[in-house]
Amino acid sequence: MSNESREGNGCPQRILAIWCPDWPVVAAGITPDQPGAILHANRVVASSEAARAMGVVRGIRRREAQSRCPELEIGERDLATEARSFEAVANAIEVFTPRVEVIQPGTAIFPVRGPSRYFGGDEALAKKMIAALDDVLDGRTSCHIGIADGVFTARLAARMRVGGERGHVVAPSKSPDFLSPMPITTLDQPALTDILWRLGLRTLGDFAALHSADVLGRFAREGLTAHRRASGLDERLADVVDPPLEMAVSLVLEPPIERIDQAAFAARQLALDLEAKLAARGAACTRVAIEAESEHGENYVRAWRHEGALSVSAMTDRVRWQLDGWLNASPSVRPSGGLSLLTLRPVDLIPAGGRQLGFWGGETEADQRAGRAVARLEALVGAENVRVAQWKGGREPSDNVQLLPAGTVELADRQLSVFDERPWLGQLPAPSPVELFTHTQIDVVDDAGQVISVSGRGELSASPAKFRRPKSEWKEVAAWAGPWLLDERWWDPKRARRRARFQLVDRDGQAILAFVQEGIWWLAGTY
Amino acid sequence: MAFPAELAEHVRRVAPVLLAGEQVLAVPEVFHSLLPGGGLQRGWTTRVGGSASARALAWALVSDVTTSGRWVAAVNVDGISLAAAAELGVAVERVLVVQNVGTDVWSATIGALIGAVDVIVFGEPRHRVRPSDHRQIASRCRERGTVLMELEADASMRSGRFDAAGQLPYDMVFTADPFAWDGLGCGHGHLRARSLRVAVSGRRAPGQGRHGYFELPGDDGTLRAVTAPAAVTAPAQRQRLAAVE
Repeated sequence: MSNESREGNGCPQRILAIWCPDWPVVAAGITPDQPGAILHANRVVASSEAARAMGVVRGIRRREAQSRCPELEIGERDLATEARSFEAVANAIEVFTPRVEVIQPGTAIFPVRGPSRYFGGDEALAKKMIAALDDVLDGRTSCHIGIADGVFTARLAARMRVGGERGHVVAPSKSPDFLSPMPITTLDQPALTDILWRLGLRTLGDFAALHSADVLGRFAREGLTAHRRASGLDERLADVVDPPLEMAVSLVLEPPIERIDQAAFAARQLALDLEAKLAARGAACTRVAIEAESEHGENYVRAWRHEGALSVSAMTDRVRWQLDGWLNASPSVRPSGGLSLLTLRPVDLIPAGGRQLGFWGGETEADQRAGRAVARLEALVGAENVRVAQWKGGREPSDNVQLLPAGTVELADRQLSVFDERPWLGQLPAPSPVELFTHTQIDVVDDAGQVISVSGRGELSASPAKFRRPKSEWKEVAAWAGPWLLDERWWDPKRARRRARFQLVDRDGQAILAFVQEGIWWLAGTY
Repeated sequence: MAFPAELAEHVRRVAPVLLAGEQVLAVPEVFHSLLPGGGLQRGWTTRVGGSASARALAWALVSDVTTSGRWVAAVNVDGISLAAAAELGVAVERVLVVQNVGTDVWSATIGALIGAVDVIVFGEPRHRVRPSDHRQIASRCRERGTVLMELEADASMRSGRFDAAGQLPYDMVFTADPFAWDGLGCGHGHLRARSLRVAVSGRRAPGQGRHGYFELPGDDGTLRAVTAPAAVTAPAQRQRLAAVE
């Protein structure tokens, strides 16, 4: 692979990029004419064609999306499903060439020189490829193809929509001319392009016109990589080396694995081994080939590529997705037995430390220690029981924070708490209860011992006088307030909530949050 | 990027000797009157209890640990409310929540966290911790500098405690009792400020009956030390609450 891919430093390889737009939406089973959006951390990350027409674009919040398009179908982001469903597309591409590299679910590339010669030129190949992929996609979405020198240019070409044409071929060595008029923001490196914009560089051509030594002096490695991209050069710098064969790490799976939950632990173990091996050489890798062998001797290989260096958790995710894809593929291509051998082979090595974490980002030693503990804890108590928090927002204290499995999250370099969000209507003001309860009934009665009831308009039958938690004594109410009415999601019978909330303080100074729902009192939390 | 093992070994050898001040995990300044060292001594075994509100004290004590980039684990903390933790100053992105830890792997789980995080907050174990496990955990904590913080379970759910055998008594026991709530009337208002009386005991406690009064949080959302209310005794506390009615 190596000799062929080095066509002299500076002159990039000719690449074909396949882009299936809105893949997260497609993977969730939403057709382009159906308004749908996929959310992550309460923000839209992808939307369907129909939803975009109504103004649902990336980056807006759930509430805003729903107000722009009330019949919007909403799904949470699920990278594993996206990767699994993209496997069918990757298999279809593999018919043309064995050297497919997936960049992310929805986008794949391969070097095109050989296949193009075999199928009679770039245009002919693009047409054949579109026809083949349309068969697989079956109207769920369209696919777009770009052929150009270099990965960045090919991906941009795939995204060009010129007069309904779905294949865009940039002639050999015409990449710089193609890139020159593009806006600087196409680099998709907000921290860098923000500065370039303010320096008055509005197009890739402006940026490419700078001398590369000046760019390196001012913006270091990240800047230089971006500059090479903008100039249509090979974005890999001269210090990218091919790894020696012994860098690959393997794991014999005994007994062979057939289900994805068994594979998750193996994935993390392999990623950690590879990272340790690379770290000993002071290297990191940007491309990794995942190889698997089934107990009946079938071989599977797929390469994944990343913009920067692959971290342990990024590698773990990709291995898990790939195994998920293989194990859940259609019966004709699925391995006939369990997977018995798993190998991770780094393809491109770069010096470690030149990785593209945020602009000045880094990770602390404490984050690393916690990250290492996660793998051991997952083995002890199960991956679903080791969690970290993510802000979600909601009206009830239990809704505010979502707990995500720690194995799926990059522990280092996480966003700081985003608790400065504007308050939710109907949310109780701070402080929040320190302990939350579910399914705990309580009794709240008036002076005469009658259970307090709340009318539909929020009127109380009497003032609360006493309350009792399960298995404890009656407490006299010293102070109370409420009811605060909450009527959520009334359109969805399964998740609808209609309740009246109260704060009660007993004479020992213990405060509780309670609510009435359909005439029954529940304990929500203690303060 | 991880250090190669040999380099880590050299770093360990040439690292300066730790001073006592560096072996303390800082706590918010308001608690300095209770903890003369200015924080939680690394390796301590502590317990926080007294009432359901004591959890607010536990989060407030570890808040500076998380904001300085260190990690806190919460093991088997039932009904964990990270929204409340965030309000008390905890950087919740560095809280590792470990749930549903069975009694058979409880000691191993705590063991895996020692050295990996700086404070392990855990709910009262639901079983009797074997004295040998207890000794081993405590000594590894002293060696690796991790603080253990046990949360007392609600009286009705009481099942066990980490130091049941009393072999290595808690270094510090915090007892927090709510003595007043601001903002709540009789049918109006809402809770604004939680006032706690916090007493410390245990074998490293600075003196007999050391205690303080705190608002966690105060009505402006910050942690505050408040002056002792005049003669706060149980009856006076009742009067104060009764006066609100």
